[in-house]
Amino acid sequence: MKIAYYPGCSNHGTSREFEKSAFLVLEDLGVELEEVPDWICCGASPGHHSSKLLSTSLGAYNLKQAEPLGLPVMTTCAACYHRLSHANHEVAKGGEYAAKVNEAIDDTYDGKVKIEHLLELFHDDIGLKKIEEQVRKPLKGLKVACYYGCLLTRPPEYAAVDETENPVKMEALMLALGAEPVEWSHRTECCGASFPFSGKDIVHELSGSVLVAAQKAGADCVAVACPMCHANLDMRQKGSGKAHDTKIKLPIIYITELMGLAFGHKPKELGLNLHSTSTKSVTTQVG
Amino acid sequence: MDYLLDLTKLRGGLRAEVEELSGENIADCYQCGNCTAGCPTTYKMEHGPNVVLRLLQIGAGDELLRLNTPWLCASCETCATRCPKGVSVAAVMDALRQIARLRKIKPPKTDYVTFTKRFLGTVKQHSRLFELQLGMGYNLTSGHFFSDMTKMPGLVFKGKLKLLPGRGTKKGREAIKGIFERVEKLDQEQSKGGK
Repeated sequence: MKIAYYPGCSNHGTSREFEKSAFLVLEDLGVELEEVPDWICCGASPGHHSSKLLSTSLGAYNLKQAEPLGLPVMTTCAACYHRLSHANHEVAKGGEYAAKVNEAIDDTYDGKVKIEHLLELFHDDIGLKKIEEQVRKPLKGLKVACYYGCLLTRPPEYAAVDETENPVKMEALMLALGAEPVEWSHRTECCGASFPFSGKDIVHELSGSVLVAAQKAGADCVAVACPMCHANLDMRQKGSGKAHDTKIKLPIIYITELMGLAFGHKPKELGLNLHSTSTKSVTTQVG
Repeated sequence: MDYLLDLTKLRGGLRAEVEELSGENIADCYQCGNCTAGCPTTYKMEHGPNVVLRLLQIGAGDELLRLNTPWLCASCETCATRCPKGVSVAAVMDALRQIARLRKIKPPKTDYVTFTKRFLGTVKQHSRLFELQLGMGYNLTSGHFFSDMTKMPGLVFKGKLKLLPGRGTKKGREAIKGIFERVEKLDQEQSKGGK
């Protein structure tokens, strides 16, 4: 299987372990990636906070670059996925606004390049059966709180990785790895990712609620599929704990890292040593 | 703040601009409050999302842009997903921020605007986000000089905070400059036409 890959800015920086582990498990699963040529930033939330046209145009430009490859585009970042899907949704409607977007990108894009998130690729395209076949060391007894956050499933008109209020694909993936997904309350609550610098108190409040809920549910770790969610939940545990009058210590692990562990890779190969919150409790439990 | 029901503004002014930019019909809102109930940042807002919609319905103007409220929307899209009338309040909040930018109106807490500006500044320059420049630039211009400084060495050591920008390709850098320029021109034209 071959698929176009839009890395997004974070995967070359703060979330480089996401890319590292994704490359490894995709290779195991026989998926070949082709990077979208000349890709640029999707604008993320500052893009659409500033100008709708800018946000749509950045997405449309990137998808236009992928068009000649003739492949669906996969991204690992929920924010990139959301922005590119939004661009497709707006441009495919046609009309005056689509014409304006084409003027802005100085090209013609019709909104037809398929965009999907890595979780969809695993669950829908590759399939859980094939993933199960790769499992060498089942994650037996590992209690995982699957966290979807906002942008994978909202709004359902164009961000539809899974069912909007009750997504289940990550839990299904964890079961395939032999882990035990826990039932908990905050799977689709917001972590506050649009305020990484400008509203740290909001991040501490929101991420803290998510982390406290995961801890209460008895989770050994939180599984995530978005670099923004990861940065907030992993890096801001001290502040989040303070905001909620408690101590939080919970490893936040990318789905691809958990897959990599189950496939028999070493923690270091997967970048599990690059987290802010130690992942040792998980790697010793399943290693 | 006082809100006066101004009949001349009911269908014009800010509301018309918001409707054009967001593609949402403000009159559709029947004030059920579902958006506010699910909003994670209401606790910080001067007015909850449903009140913003109501104020637009009764002809609020630029005073709405001088609140922190639009900037406190986390763009989590919960409101857009749960609105029984299909109104995307998130899109309305976006439109308010976008109009405020074009009118050069800033919220009381300027940090939100500073972050957006710094983020897009590095993206425009390098075609991809340069996180170190964003962090340093934000700290210097927001006045929070030492914010997160203790986190930086660890991130640099782990190779997560690069000291040099990942500059993308020449074609990408040229393309993004063109996109920013043409968007600015088109946005300004629309804003003048809308007034």
